[in-house]
Amino acid sequence: MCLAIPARVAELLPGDAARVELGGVLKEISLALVDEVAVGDYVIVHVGYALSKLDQEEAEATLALFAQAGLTSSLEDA
Amino acid sequence: MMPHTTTDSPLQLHARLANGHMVDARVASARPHAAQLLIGRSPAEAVAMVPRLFALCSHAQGTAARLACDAALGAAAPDAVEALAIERQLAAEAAQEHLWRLLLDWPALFGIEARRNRYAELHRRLSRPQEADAAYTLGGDLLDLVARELLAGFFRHNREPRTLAEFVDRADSGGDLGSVLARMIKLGAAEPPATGPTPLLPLRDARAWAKTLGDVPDLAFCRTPSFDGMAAETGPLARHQSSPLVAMLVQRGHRISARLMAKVIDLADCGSRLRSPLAPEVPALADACPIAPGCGLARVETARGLLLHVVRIEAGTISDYAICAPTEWNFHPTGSFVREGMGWTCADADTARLRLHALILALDPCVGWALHVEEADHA
Repeated sequence: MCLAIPARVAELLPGDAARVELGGVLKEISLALVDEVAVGDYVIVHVGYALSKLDQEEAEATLALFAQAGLTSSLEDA
Repeated sequence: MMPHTTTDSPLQLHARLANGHMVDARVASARPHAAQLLIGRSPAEAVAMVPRLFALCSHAQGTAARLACDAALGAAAPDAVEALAIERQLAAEAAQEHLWRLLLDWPALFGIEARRNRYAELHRRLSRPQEADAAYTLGGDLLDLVARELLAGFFRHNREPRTLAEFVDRADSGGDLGSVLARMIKLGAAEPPATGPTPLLPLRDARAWAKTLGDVPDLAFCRTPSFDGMAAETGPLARHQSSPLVAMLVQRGHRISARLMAKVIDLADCGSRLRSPLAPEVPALADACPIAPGCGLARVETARGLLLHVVRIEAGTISDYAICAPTEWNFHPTGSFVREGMGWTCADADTARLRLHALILALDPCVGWALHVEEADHA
């Protein structure tokens, strides 16, 4: 049960990779499993891979929900 | 997909090697309890929210939430068309989870190149909604993948192997996973745990679980679930323990390899379910039933094993919600990792790490993990 904490894409990197911001921490991930990701998009990350994209409204609602429950401080297994 | 090595992973796995003997294995889990987020909400809100909460198995989680709430409210079960769609979607998701391990993690463990491009292609196809025609084709492709790419060596003979030597020979003669299995078996058999192997959780439907639990289980059960008063293992080994090749590996002391073999069989099973969902005599991957007035339970068999959702609804609002996931069974403080992570001899710490890493992949946690092997040699 790993929590799906949305991560915002901060920078696209060479080799189908990106730097994302998650819980205030920047992390390098692979974009090999998702299509057409741009800076500013939100993705769900699992152990170094973006699994899926989600729209901004949905991402912000989910982040607010986790923040309300005090769960954003955990990076879970991203 | 490599494990975290930092202390922020939710699952911290510790083992101790002393004088060539694994003397201790422990689990420390700091998993957040997401079910608390659902209390005080309407069933409709919860059903919409649950798939967004979990990075993995979101279809399984979403289906469980919906079926549990419907059962609590006395709503009709999904009709035949929808039941087929649910089964296809759950099978696709389980296949996706298995393929991550089989194409990325297991080869990497033995220094074989991970098949990232192949996984990425299948990940995209399995992520789409599974309409019947596309699912039929995809299911066939998964069956071909098992036969031609993963375990090709087993499909070049007319009969199944009868001895471990024949098994290794077939494994080694074709297929990425065959090579992994052969190397795993060559690491040697493990002594049975001093406390005996962890019982395998029987396949039970929602009604059987409703009768066992009787109510919404408490947080202690969700974090450390038990069956008949004991920890139990859920997942592919429990589901395919009677398959002849899996049973042979178990009998010969190769329990980790048996789990890996069972995982490949489970992947083929997902392919069959995508082609012929809800076939006669094959139990559905998900079902649900009321457990008490206003209280419903749903069961979903996921890639990693049993997922239970239990909900109580009072005056249109969720007053209690429990989620018990497979990782809680398999990484129980007295479960399979702990029992099989100790009690065996080992030449050195690197070999210990390799075998423990394989055990972890075989038990397949759904969260990030870190393994710590402490060496404590005595004079």
